[in-house]
Amino acid sequence: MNHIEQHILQTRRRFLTSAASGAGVAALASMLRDDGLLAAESSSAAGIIDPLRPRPAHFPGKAKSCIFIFLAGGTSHLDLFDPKPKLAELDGQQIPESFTKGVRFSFIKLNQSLLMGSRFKFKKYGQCGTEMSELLPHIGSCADDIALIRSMHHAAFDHAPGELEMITGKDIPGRPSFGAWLTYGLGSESQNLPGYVALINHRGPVARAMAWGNGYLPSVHQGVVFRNQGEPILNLQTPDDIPPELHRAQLDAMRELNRLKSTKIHDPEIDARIAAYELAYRMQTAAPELIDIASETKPTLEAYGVERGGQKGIFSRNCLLARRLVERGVRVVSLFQRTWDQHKDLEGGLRSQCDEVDQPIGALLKDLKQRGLLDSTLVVWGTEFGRTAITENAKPGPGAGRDHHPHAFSMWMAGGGVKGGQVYGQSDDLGWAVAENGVHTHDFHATLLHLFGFDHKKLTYRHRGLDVRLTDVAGNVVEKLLA
Amino acid sequence: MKISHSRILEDSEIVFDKGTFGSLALPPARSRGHGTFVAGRMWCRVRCIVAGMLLTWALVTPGQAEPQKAAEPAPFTVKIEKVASGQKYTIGRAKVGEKPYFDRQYQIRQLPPALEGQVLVLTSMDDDYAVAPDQLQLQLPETAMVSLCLDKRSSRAPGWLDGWTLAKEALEVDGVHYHIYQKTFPAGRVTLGGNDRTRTGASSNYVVIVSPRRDLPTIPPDPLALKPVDFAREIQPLLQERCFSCHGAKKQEAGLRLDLRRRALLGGDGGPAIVPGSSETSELILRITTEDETQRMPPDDEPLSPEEIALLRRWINQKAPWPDALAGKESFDDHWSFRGITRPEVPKVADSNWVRDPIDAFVLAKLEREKIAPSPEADRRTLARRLHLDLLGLPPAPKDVDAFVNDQSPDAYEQFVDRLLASKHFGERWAKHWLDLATFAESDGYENDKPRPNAWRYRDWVIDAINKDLPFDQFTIEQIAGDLLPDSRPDQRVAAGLHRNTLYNSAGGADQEEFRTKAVKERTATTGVVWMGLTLNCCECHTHKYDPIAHREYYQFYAFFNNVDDANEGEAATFKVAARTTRIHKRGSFLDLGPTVEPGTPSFLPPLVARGAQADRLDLARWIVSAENPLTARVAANHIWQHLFGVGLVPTPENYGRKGEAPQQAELLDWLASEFRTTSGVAWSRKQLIRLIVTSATYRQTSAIRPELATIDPDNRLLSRQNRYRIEGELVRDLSLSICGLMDPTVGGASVQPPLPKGLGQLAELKNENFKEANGNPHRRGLYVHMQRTFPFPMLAAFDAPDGNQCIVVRDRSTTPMQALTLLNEPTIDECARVLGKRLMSATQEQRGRLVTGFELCLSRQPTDAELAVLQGLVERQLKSGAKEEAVWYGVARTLINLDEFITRE
Repeated sequence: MNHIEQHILQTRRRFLTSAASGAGVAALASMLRDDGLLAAESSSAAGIIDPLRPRPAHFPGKAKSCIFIFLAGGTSHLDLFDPKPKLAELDGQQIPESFTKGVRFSFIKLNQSLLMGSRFKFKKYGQCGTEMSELLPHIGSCADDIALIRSMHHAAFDHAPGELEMITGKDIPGRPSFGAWLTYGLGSESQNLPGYVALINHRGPVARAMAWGNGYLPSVHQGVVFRNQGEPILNLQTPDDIPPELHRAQLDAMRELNRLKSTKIHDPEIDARIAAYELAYRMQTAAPELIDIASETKPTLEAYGVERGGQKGIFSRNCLLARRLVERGVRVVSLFQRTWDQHKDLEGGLRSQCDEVDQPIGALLKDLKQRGLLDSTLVVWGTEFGRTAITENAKPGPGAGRDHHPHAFSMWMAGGGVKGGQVYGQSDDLGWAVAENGVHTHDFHATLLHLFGFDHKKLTYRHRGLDVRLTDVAGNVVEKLLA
Repeated sequence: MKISHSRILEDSEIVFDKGTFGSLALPPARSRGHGTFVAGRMWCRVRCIVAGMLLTWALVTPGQAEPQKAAEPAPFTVKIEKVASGQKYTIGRAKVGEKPYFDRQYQIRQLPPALEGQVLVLTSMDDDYAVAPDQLQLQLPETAMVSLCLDKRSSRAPGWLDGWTLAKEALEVDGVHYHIYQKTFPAGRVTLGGNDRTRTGASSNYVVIVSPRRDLPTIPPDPLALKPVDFAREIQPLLQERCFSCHGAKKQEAGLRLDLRRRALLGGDGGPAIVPGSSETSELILRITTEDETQRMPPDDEPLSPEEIALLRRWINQKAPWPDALAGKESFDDHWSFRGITRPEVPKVADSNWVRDPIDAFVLAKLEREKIAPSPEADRRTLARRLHLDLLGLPPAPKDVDAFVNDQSPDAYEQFVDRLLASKHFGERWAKHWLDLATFAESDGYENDKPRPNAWRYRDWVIDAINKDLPFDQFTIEQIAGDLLPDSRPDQRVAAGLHRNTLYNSAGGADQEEFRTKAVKERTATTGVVWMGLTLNCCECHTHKYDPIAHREYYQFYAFFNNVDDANEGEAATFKVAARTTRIHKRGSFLDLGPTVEPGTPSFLPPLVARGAQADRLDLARWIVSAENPLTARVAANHIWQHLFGVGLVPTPENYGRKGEAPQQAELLDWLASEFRTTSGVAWSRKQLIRLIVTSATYRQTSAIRPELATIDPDNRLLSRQNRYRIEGELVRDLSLSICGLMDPTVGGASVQPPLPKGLGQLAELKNENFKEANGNPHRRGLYVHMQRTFPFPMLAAFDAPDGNQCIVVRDRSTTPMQALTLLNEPTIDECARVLGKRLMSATQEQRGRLVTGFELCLSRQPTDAELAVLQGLVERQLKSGAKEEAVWYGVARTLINLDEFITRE
């Protein structure tokens, strides 16, 4: 978005008042009244009333929607995505000091910690033969669509800073999440659902509201949490004792009174308010419809594993909801699941967590592909960091776990213009440091924005007198990840 | 950076590149290495000889350990002249099995034969974070080659290695391989820089091996080296011609400015550019000599000539002398906010009848110039609601509105204002504005986000200070340094709780030093923006790109707060004042420390006078409110204006620097600033300034938008009307609670945790153990709703209330469907609608009377006929669908609370 456009958005007042001297407000107000559907209108006046109207990026990007699956806690690259035979050889030995010198740990005491090879086998998946853990057969079966990055890195080694780094590009609170940047840049295609939705099971991310926050961007770009029980959106439900016809009668009276005021004092803010009420009303119908998955076929529900019940069933349902949201034009869906912080019992923890997420994520990728949505939907396996090659204060074996490790870890992307069937980057023999083609968080974000058609250096917002951006002052698009 | 590759002791002519030998006029940078070059004959000759000799040697004595000479070789020694980190490096012999670090047991396992037995400088592994540009200085007795061995896992070789040759062989130390960079130097001092610590993984310090090069012709000492360089005649014109266009007065690429001595020696964003005495590690030299054209200065231009490069080297090696007379003077008078505040003349106007006080004269003078008439005065009902919202954040009671409307006395308006200024709720309203700036919250933030059960005491101090109109200078001093005041009172120490508003990460495993430095940075940035409108945070990693604030100066400002250690969170602040030296964080990283700095203020501002040898926070606080500080009074006056007109006179109140927008009403702002801090009544009186503004004719205008001015003054900078805008989240709550009579008017005390929307308490995914529904009246004002940083109260967050994670100078005023859902269905607002419905029913039996009462309660005015008709229609429609009377009036109340006008200040 250029400055002019941003300025227009920030000062709707200015634009509409000037429009008022021409055809302006009256025509606009009438248009609002006529169909109440602002988002579909491409006229710039409507765009200013509706800051989420769809708008073009800098260049045509392949990705239109993003499903960011955030496996919070720190998924172990060494056990899931990055096989290390050398590490297995050295199992039980001490790590040379030269590796650990100057490296900060959360909980590790070096004299009690030993190198630990993965307890799981790696398998070659797909035509491409990408090696991933035996724990991920469903995801593995989509390997030809997946670009696996084995050289992610940043410097934040604790959960909240790590999540913020991965989600906002900076390890301290206050910055917009990448999803807010996407709706800021592109608007939303949905006319009756929020443009940015967060879905959660187990505990949410430790960064909580900041994980889908708008930071310094206008709050219309904040993600909206869809809940797993009760009303899907906070305050969505009209109080029980107000029947629908009374609710509508009251909304009509509100609109009429707001209109009378608008006619008198020419403030376009009132028209924006009218439009917001209409969208809220549509959400009251659309959101319950969205979460009602009864219309899905039995094979679909089974593929996702919705019937599994408990937290597993919720994760399956969230994956399915992600597809339903994307189908309805929602720009960004963030799925959060925080169960990966295996300081102890890595083996047991990974078995049960992979069992929870592998099937639904695999199903989601296949479902999107089958419906022709994968080309325009970027799916990400994200996490705040990987885990250490050494145990955390224990002998390798059952019960042992690994500590936080942001210096080299793995994530993957699929769909949305990503070149699948490849592995990008390398970590060293111990999965300790990046050995080749490091992808810093800023590089990752630059690439993500590129897939959506943005030059990350130009998608800026004026904040405290500076043109700020998701990638701070760094970041390079990783061209090899692009199809 | 570009490094050429070679085999050890082959192609060694490369080592002559970059004019290492000063005035020998060796080849220019671009021609080094294997490339072609055009240079003096002498160079060609040397190169041929060297190449020939090497070839011969390589053929005759392959794999031999040391070059052999016919003559008896004198013993070769190297002297360690200086280790900047203060460690005691020692001299040894490079051999397999030897220790390369004096402080570690690691051994050399593999060594290229050519280096076997050569002089080894045993460095310290603990110096892996040493980054000084003159970390290690050696004295060479004769021409010799330095081999610098660098852990291969380090992500980057330091910039000063640019131009060294990377050998194909490696050194191995206990399984870790080291790159070997080589370069030959003539006899004399050699300076080696520090490490580049922007690494991503493991790291080690470098290992140094020195071998004599008796195979090369001795290079005569530079006869010119000691001849003093004439800065005025030789250096300045050169800098001017080749550097100033990007690093001069107009532009400072990478924060580097070379036309002023202070700035040139301060360096740029990447650190110092000139290291006096060490041209080898001066970035300036590295950048003009690098072969990498993307890096070489000046960009897109001819490189400097060998003579010019040699001259600059000599100048730097002679410690970069720069006479005072040519130091240059920085002038900041070009920017409005950096100029001292002078009290402007009150302008003359044609229509003096309209003018109530000098504010109006400034405003009207501009309007008359544009031939625009001011808007008429708003009616008394509108003014009553406006004043109530602006001064108290509460709606007026209908009877008070009526009394005001009917008050015939000439000073009815002023009396009305004075009553509000005296209200205890005034302090609540204005405290909230301040708490936004102070980044106030009641929990730690980050993962654990522990509640801070005593944080409200600071909030109450602010309310109380504002209610008793504590002068703004005192208000400032007590918050910044209340704990340092002589015989400080407990309340002054509570005021210093300002510093406690920073976030804190108590997560197990968190690096405490990391989060401590982040908190200090937060204090630094907040103080800068809140009191002076400076974006100090821009200089955390580099010199400010737009404003005259250097990277170093940021850390000098930071130093004031660096010794604030929160001892315990009790009733009053007791800070442990830690003796901690402050060092520059290179590129903002607390792991990458640069030189030590003393506390100080940016040098473009008037000097700070310290009480003692070293300035402290109390000196800083007094300096901030000193008469000479050009920013503080402007910033504070503008904040107050901002809350009475919706926007400040300065359109970018968070940035008074060059990237901010200058005020269109600059004279008015200066007059207000000067009025605020010096004259009429009490100096720095917040209430006096507010009274002055709200009694002006400018303030009293209507807020209706004037379409005819849309193109001339779209943002109403000329103030030809008041502004109309949505109220803050807290006020949405306060108004709802007030109009139905539920609001608990208690001032101060511990915060409350009102009921959360149905089901939210059970939401396991939102970690809200810290936010249990608490005892106490849940109908307190929004100001008293507990502020949990990671769990902002949903109703307030929907209306853009801050989450306490960063300092908020201007709140967003969004219009979203989530706000609609909140006003329609949020439990507390819904409760208010139900109670209001009942209140309307009990007010009168008559339908019209109830509707009018509803309008008066919610909007402080009577409905028009058309509005009445809409509401009557609603009543009928609801009755027709079979609703009971109570449901009907609940419906009417719900409708009124959801009107745009209800949440708008007009």
